[in-house]
Amino acid sequence: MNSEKGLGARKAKDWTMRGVALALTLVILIPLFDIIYVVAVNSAPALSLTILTKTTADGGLINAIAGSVFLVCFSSLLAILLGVFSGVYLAEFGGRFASVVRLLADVLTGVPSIVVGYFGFIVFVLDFGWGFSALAAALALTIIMLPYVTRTTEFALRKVPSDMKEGSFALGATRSTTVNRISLRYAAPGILTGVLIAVSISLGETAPLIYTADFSNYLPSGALTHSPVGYLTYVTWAYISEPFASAHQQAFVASLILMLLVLSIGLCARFMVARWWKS
Amino acid sequence: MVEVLTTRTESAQKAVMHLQADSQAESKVALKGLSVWYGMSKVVDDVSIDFRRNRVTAVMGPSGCGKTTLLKTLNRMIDLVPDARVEGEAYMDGQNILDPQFDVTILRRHVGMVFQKPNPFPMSIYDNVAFGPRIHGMKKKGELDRVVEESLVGAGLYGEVKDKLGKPASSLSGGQQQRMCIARAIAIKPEVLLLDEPTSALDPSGSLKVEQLITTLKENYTLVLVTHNMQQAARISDNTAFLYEGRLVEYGETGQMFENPKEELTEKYITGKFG
Repeated sequence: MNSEKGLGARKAKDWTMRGVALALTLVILIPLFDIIYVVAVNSAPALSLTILTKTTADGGLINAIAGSVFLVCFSSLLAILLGVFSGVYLAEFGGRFASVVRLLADVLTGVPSIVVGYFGFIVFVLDFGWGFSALAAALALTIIMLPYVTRTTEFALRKVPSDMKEGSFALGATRSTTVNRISLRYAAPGILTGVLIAVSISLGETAPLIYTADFSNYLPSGALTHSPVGYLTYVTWAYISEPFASAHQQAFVASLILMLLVLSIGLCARFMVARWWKS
Repeated sequence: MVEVLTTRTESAQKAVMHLQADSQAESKVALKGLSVWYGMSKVVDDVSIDFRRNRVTAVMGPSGCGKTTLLKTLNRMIDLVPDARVEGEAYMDGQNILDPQFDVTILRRHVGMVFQKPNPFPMSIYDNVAFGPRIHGMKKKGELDRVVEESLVGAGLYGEVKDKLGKPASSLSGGQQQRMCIARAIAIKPEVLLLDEPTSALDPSGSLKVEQLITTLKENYTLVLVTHNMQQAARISDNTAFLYEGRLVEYGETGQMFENPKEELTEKYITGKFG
C-alpha cells in the first residue's frame, strides 16, 4: 500500500507548496511589522497626557484627534444614510438604471482621492462658497465612502436567501416591508462590515481633506462652514517635513493614534458581527 | 375588445354557477382552465380543479409535472417569477383571484403557504409567529401574545416552545421549525393553507407530526398539499389530483383513486411503473 508509485514525489510537491505559501506570507508580514515598529519607537518618547490636553500648536494633538473623529462621524452618518438606501435600491428595486448606477459606483471606487479633494475644493469651497470647512470636508469624505457602503449593502442584500423573502411575501408583506423587516436584518452584519471598512478608509484619507478642510491649530469650532478643521493625517503628512524633532514626534504619534483607531474599529466590528450571529 | 371581455366574464360567471352547483356549496377555490407558461414552455396545461372547503386535497405527480407551479398561482407567488404567464381563472368564494386588480396582499392574507424547506426568519420564535399579524397592523402586546399562543397551540408546538419563545427560531429542530412555519402561516387566520411538500426536508418523526397536524387543521382550513410521496397522499388527503406533464390526468376521492383509478396513467403511477 505504502509503496504506491510516485507517492514520494507527490508528498514532496505538497510540502514545497506549503513551504512557498508560508514563506511568502512571512514576506508580506515584514513591512507590516516594520511600520508598527518604526511608528511605535518614534512616537514612544512623546507619549504623554500633553497629547490629549494641548493642541498642535503647543505640542499636543487634541485638535487633530477631535477634528478627525468629528469629520469621520459626520461623513459616516451621511454615507450610511445615502449608501444603505442606494444599496437597497440596487439590490431590490433597480432595473436597467441600477446597472448604470452600479457601474458609476465602481468607477467612483477607482477615482484617486486627490481628485475627490479637488472636486470638493472647486464645488463646495469655491462654488458653494462654504470656504475651508467641516461641511466641505465631510462631503468629500462621504464621496470616498459611498461606493463601499452602497456596494457592500447591495452584496449583503443579494445574499439573503430567497426562501426567506418568499416566506415574507407569502404572509402578505410588500416588498418594502420585506426589505425592512427581513432582508436588512439578515444582511446587517454584512452591511456593518462594509460600513466599518469605509470608516477605516476615510479615517486614513488625507488628500480629500487638504483641499476642503485646510488645517487648524484650534479645536473644531462647531461651525459647519467657513472654519478650517484640523485632522490627524495632516499632522502625519505635514509635520514630518518640518525641521524640528518635536514635530516629527507629533507626526509619529498621530500615525500611532490613527492605527489604534483603525484597529479598534476592526476589533469592534468582529465583536459585533460575532455577537450578531450568536443571537 | 369590450365584446370579448363581456363574453369572457359571462362564461366565467356561468362557470362559477356550474361549479357551485356541482360541489354542493363546498367549493373553496376553483380553477378553471388554468395554464401557466415559463417563457415558451407550458408547465400547467388547461387544469380545472375544485378544491373543497375543509378538505385536504393532495396534488401529486412526478417531478416537473407542474404541481408546485399550480400551488404558486393560488396565492399568486407566481407573480414573482419574471417570465411566468398565467391564463385561465381561479375563483375563491366566487372572486377571480387571478384578476390583476385583485390585491395580492389581501389574497395572501387569506391564502397561507408553507414551503418545502422550513424557512424561519432570522428572529425569535415569538417574532416569527407574530410577523404576519404585525405587518397587517396588530400592535397591542396582549392581542399579539394571544395570537402567538393560539397559533403555536394550533400547530401543536406550544408545549415544546412555551418557555423559550424569545429564543431564535433557528435553534429549533427541522420538524419543529416546519411546525413553527405552519403556526406563522395560521397566525394571520387564512382560509386556505397551501403546503408545498412540507415534509420532504424532515426526518420520519418530524414528518409524522406534521402529517398528524395537517389532518387536524382541516377542521378550520381548506388545505392543498403538494406531494411527490404517494403514501402521504393516500394517508392524509381526502381528494387527490394527479398531474402529469402539466395536465390533470385524474381528480377524485383519494380512496377511490388509489383503489380503483379510472385512468391507465394514474394506475401506472400509483403502482410505481414510472415516476
